Amino acid sequence: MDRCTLCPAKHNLVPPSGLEDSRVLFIGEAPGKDEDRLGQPFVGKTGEEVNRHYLPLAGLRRESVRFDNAIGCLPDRPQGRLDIHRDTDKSLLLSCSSHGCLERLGETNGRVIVPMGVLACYALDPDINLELQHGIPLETSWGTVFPMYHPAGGLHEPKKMLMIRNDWVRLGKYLKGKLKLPVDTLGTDYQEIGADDLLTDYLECNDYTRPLACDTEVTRKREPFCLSYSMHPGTGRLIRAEDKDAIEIFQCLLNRWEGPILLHNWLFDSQVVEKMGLVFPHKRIIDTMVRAYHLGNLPQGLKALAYRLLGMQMQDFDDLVTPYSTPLCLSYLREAVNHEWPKPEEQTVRDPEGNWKLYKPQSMGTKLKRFLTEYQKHNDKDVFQAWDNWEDDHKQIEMVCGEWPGKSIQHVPMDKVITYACRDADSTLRLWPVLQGMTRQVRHRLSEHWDG
Amino acid sequence: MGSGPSIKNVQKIDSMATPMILSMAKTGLQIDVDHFTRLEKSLIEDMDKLTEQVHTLTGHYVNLASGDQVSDLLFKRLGLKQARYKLTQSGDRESVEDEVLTAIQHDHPVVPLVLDHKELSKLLGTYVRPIPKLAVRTKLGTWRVFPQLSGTRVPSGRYACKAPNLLAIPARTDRGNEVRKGFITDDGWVMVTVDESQIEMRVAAHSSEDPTLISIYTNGEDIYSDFAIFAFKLPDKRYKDEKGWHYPGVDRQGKGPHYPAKTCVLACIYDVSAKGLLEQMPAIFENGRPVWTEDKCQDFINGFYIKYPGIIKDRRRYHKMARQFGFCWDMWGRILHVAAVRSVHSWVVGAALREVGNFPYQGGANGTFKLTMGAMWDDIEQSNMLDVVHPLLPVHDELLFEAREDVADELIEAVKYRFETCAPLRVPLVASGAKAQSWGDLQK
Repeated sequence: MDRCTLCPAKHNLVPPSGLEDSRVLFIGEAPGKDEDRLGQPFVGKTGEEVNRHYLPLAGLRRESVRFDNAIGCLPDRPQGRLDIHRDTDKSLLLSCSSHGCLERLGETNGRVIVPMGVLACYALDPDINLELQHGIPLETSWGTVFPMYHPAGGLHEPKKMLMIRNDWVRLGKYLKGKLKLPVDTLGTDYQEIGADDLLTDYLECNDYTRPLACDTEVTRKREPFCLSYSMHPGTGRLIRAEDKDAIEIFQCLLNRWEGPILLHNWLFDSQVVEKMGLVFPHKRIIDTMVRAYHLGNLPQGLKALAYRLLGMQMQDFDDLVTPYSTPLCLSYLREAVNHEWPKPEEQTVRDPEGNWKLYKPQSMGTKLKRFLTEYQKHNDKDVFQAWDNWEDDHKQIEMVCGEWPGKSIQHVPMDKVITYACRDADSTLRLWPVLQGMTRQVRHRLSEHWDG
Repeated sequence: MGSGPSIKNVQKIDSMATPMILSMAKTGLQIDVDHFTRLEKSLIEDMDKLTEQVHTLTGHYVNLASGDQVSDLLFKRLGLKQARYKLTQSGDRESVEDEVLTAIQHDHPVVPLVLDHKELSKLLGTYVRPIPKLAVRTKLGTWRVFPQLSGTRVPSGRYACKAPNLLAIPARTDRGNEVRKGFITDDGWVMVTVDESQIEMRVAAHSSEDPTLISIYTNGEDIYSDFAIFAFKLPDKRYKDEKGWHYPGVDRQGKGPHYPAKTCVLACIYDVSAKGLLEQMPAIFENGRPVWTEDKCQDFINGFYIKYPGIIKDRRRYHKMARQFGFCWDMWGRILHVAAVRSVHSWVVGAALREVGNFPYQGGANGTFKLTMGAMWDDIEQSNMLDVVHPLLPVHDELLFEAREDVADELIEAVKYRFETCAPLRVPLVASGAKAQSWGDLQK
């Protein structure tokens, strides 16, 4: 084993250990103090937890698997931890892993690779979203990858151990070929619906007892933008908030509805539908987010739930809106920078010796210029974050340049909004029976591993 | 009330409380913008005074808002040692987080001043400055804030609140009260609060079936004074008259035995260690020495379990449940997962069991609270009182309303009745109410 070019070479290189041709290869993040001292991965407290607690959950033994680390030696950082959000740490991780564990990976075929923790997953494939994809096998250029949270997480934060244990149980099932993975086989019949078509649907509807799932979207000012609903899995319809006729017909539909009305986060949606002029019958409402919360072992976000329990891929609100809102916000700032901004008042502050010093805050013009110059160099800079940082100046700028566009669904082309909004309602509809099944299991199986 | 985990039961309870929560989210709370402007000025003055006091004590001018400067003062210039060594995330200096400083508040008189400054700074940054910015002008020309309530954040079922978090305003400090005084009502209306008296303790008494605790609550006695007499070895001169129980020698107002006894009782219900209890005890120095030490706190905790052994038996029952199933449940069937009990390390198992701590009692108390919310909502709706009674906020074990002055007393009686009859426990439930012009003026 050689060191990479960025290696500070202050600690020992820890080689992989275990059966060379094992079926499962675990990749940890980096050696700790115990591993550095003993020259083997996973031999400290976390190693003990893995050997005696987690491996048996997956039906494995230490002797039958192989362990490696994304980083070859104890990082020269406080508490030996790298921070994925720091550029220097990210470079060190990529340099070290490509020189070490990833190079060794090239020699292996047909293995299940289990990266454990954010760093190991990032080294293997930066697109792995651990929060969403932990405990789910993925096909990558390296072969089958089964991402998991780092086993040390449960020691530092006992609350995390439930998730980690579940991942190991799932790994065991996967290795035995018993892991059932949800697959989204349904089509996407998502459309906008106007008053006429809605009236036809309403008149032709002959079953008011089945579940009806609804969702809402709002503008940046939290004004209603649209309502989406789904009555059949794989379908969704969108009604614009300003389409008063359609809203009126939808109210008639709600008045006649006898089945459960499903929403994900009713506390939020209730205020939006009320602004639209809709009255939902409270007794029929089922909040799938509250259902997930009651089970206690699930994420509460709709996208994470739909991905993990239904295999549905869903777009994030930020990913939907950012590409369309960013150019508008940038041109707003480019216009703002051309104005004459007053110089802020000088302030006096006391230094540690007790002397008063004069402090000159930056003018708005300087702040804007600096941001735009930096944006030209690095166009991944977050324009929305920059705006949030100037909170005290918002009023002043908006007085001159008008309302800040911000991130808003109004900037997105309607066809994209239809897909996005209808999929939320569709996934809520499909989620409910799965959550119901898990709820039933609580009484029948006193175990913390309820299946979806 | 069932004997096993029951998600259906919990769903029912939570959905009963939902209409009132929706109404609260819609109504918001009226604020006095000028009050917050005045308070901001006064807090800044108080912070300057603290800076001067630190200078007088140490001879150094320190920007108390700067972690670097505070860390330098405490750990380098004054040579204090952290109770448990902790660095900042970047690892370049000792941490000066609240929990670090609270653990050493008894070591030097400057530490309470720094903590005081932090509290002021937090009040300023979290409430006094943001609240007027978050407020919205209504059609009637008043300003209201609409905090975002959530019922899916806390495992025990308690509500959480953000933008702003009105549930975390310091409860028993004068400054916290000053912030609450900024929440007002219109002329002819009053703020009304009704709170469940010692509800978690009562649920603990119910769940543990401890005979002493049950008899205290059945007789209408005060648990804190009862424990104070035992822990401080005071002469037991308690007597009852038409006004209730009296405990001569147990000073309920000042720095007497009542406050530390109450802190200890609550800490024991929360399964807090002696170290944790020490952090909660007031930082009092006599002849330059701290009055409270870890050993003294441990003696108090031991005393509590000797006097009320049912609590420790009950805790063991919940721990057994957690070890057996990997989760436990409260008296309503609400689940708390504690998978870390399966760890091979005893310290991880210990931490997991501490998480169980007061979950059964907080969850139980929360169930009674939600049942009351549901029943009260039905009462208000059925009696067409929604125009004159506005539910505002669920503050843990206290329901806050604004109501027209002429119906306020009736409302208090109605909520009290609902609180006191919401669940058949082994001990009686008691609630008390109050009304005033502002939230901060409410004297319970």
